[in-house]
Amino acid sequence: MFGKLSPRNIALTFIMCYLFLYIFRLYISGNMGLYIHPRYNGFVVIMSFFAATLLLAGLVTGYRQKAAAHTESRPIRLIDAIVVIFLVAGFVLPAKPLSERTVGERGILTPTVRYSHRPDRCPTVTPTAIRGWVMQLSEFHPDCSDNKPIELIARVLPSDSVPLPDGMVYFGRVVISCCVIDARPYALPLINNTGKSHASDTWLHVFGRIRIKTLNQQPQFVIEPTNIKEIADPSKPYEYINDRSYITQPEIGQ
Amino acid sequence: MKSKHTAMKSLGIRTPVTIGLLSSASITLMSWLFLANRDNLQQLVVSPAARERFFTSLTTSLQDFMTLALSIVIEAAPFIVLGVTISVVVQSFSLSNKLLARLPKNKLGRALSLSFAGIAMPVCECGNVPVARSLMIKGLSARDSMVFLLSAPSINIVTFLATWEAFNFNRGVAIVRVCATLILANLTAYIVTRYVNPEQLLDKNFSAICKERHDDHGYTWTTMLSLFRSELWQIMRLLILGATIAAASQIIIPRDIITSIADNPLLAVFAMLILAFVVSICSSVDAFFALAYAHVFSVGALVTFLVAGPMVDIKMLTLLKTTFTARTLLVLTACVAIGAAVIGLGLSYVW
Repeated sequence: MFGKLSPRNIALTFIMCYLFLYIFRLYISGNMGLYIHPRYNGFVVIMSFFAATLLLAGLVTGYRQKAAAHTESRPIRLIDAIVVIFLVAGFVLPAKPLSERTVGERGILTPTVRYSHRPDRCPTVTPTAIRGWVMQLSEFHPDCSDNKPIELIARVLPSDSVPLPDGMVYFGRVVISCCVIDARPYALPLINNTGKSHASDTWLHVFGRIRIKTLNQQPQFVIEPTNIKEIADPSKPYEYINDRSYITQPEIGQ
Repeated sequence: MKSKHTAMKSLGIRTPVTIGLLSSASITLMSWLFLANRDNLQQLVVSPAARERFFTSLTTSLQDFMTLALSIVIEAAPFIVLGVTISVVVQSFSLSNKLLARLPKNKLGRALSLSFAGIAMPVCECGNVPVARSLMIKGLSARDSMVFLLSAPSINIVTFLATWEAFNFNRGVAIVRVCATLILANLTAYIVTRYVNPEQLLDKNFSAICKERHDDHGYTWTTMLSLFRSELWQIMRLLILGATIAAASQIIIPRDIITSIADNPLLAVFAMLILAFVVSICSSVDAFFALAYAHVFSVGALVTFLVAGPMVDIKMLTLLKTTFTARTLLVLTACVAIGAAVIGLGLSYVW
């Protein structure tokens, strides 16, 4: 009825097992974070292991009942070939974060200066990650944040969509709420007062203060740095929404 | 003519939707290659530097395409495994008969029960497809299964709480999302089953499976494991196809083009419909995704995204193709798109 142990079904079992083992390999190698939010890691790994076990169990029980099973020889379809090509490409190509070009096309999210907020209501905590800064700066009166010290590790983002004046770059990270599909860059303009230019995609460790400057005829929050250090690419290029590690263990000192 | 048809059939190119998808994907890809790299193309023949730039650009696009497609597959795979497991259990232990027997007999009660059935199964849309298939095999009507499939991804606790939390500055969005989904899901299911010929509603293969397995009882472990493999492959391969199309669309259509038309209410709603269709994001977290556009788009446009996305997107349509015909899916997509656009536009003017 379901086509028991035909060569096609053996092949399908191995193809699907390969997919689940590939997912397991991504987890072991620490590359799962390049695709999905870490809060799903446990669920993904458990279900992959579960599925691979059931598929292999089906192979064993099917083999034992080989005599009773009828063979099924449906032709290989185009869609089957697409699946195989996709899995082979996934195996051959190394796991990589999204390129700066694709990230840049999604539009950089920067905080908005709103003088309409109540000036007597200011935040009591200091964010440690870029999304926290963008959200907090947008949510409170600008006076609350003007001249506030900031320390941040992030990368230089391309500024093709909304160009910045000379000597400034977008400084931020790609933020993920579920998987790379919803990745969105959050950033603050950074005044580059060191005299050294930083290419797009360079990772920096910046110490400085939040200032309000007029850019493109509009007031905007910017970072006025006191110290900028170029650093190596971190193992976690993305920032994840509601990931507590960014609050308790910021990647300071890399 | 006959031999050509047979050759296509042997390749699995058996339906207009497959041919349509492949043709449109090829045409879009070629157009994009031409438009995006028009200057490069003119110099390709004469300049080695231009050739190098072009191939670097192509390699980067391919790498991003794989990253995006894999992220969809990895994120959705566990939900599909869960859904298929539930589907096999439901089919094998006669649970479906008990579940179907408990459904109210009157139409309104039945529709409401199925609309809120997602509360008992809080997984995203991918996981619901195999469950709906198993219930249909055991006798659930196409209309009832459509109500469940369209409502469950949005009307469940996880999605509601995520929307409530994401739009904490405007909590009405979460409530409007539930109400709009409830109305649109039932209306769409009614229209589709009313105006599509009953014999053309379901995919031929699936209809055959329904007839074959409707009265099956007494499953053994071997048949259950075999059913698990068969169902999993049916869904997973279409998930991979959907993921590749969704990822390719994201590479081909730059996001900033979609968001650049946010000022006009009509175009904004249209843009969010396209975005929802292309992005194919999981319903349990789409509110956080929509939040990133809250400063640009009206509430109406955002609601359109939140209502239409879980019902029809590239990934979901390819999954639904395991069950329904291309004609059914075309009418379904049109109903959802028009309905969600009307709701979004209405909200844009009153909210």
